[in-house]
Amino acid sequence: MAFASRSFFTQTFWAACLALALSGHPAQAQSEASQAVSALPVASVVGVAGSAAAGSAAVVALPVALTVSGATLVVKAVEASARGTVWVLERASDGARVSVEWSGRAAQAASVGVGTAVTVSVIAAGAVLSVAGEVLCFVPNGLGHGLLHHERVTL
Amino acid sequence: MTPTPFSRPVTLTALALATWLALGTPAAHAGRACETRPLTTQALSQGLTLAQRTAQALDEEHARSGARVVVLARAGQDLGKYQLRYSHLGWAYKTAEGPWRVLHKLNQCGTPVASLYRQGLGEFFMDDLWRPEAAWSVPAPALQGPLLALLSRP
Repeated sequence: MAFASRSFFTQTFWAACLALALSGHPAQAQSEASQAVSALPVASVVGVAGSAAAGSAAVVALPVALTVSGATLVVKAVEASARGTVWVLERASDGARVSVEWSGRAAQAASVGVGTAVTVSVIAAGAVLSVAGEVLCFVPNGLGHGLLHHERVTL
Repeated sequence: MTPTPFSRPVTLTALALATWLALGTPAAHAGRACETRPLTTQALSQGLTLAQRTAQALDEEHARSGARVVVLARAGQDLGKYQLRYSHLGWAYKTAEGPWRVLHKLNQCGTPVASLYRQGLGEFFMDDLWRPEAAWSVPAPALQGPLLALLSRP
């Protein structure tokens, strides 16, 4: 069913929708609450060793340690940073290392210590790091960075 | 039936009803649960994969029709009993830098208080999907420019 470039709506309809959407309509008229609105745990690569992306601050391709789904990384060090926590991770199979910085909740950071095993899941947008099936953080690649943005426009 | 991961078709009736639901029903703020559940790898992968596929499809739409503004729908909750497929709409637009952004209104969980948010497609589709599916509709060409200017406003 093709409809893409043809509008089903009149200008009046769109104008009404836009006005309703952007003009402070009563809050109770909104359809969905959001619990995950700022909860996406995004981490960034801060330093790499054995990486295909060494030297790149804005990582387009992830370091080699984050490129194999199912790989196990072991936490070798946990360091405090100005923005949060830096985990130094080492791939068990070949020793490839990557450091990721995360500015999420301290409680979750505290649950990850030296020796913790972290599993890598690779998707098109980056790598998901998990511990025992629960997401620890998401490390976006260049494509993933383009998908992420969070900004509160009105109070 | 296995849900399709991405879907373009939206009938006027469905989208109009979804819009009505999104913007006009007084009881709708109570619609979603607010319990905190651990984020699973499967859920995160599903949301981000849908976001990535949607970005790709919207880029193709942009290349085909020139559209830079669309109304984007997601299925965040099961509204089947109302014969509705999508539960939430946002205005998505293509930025000058390339990525798509979505301007939409969200309630604070468990409250009648709402705010406007500008988010990436990743966040838009990470919000606890009921079905990993998206749909969009393109406003008329004459509205594209004014809508883009309004939506891009800081």
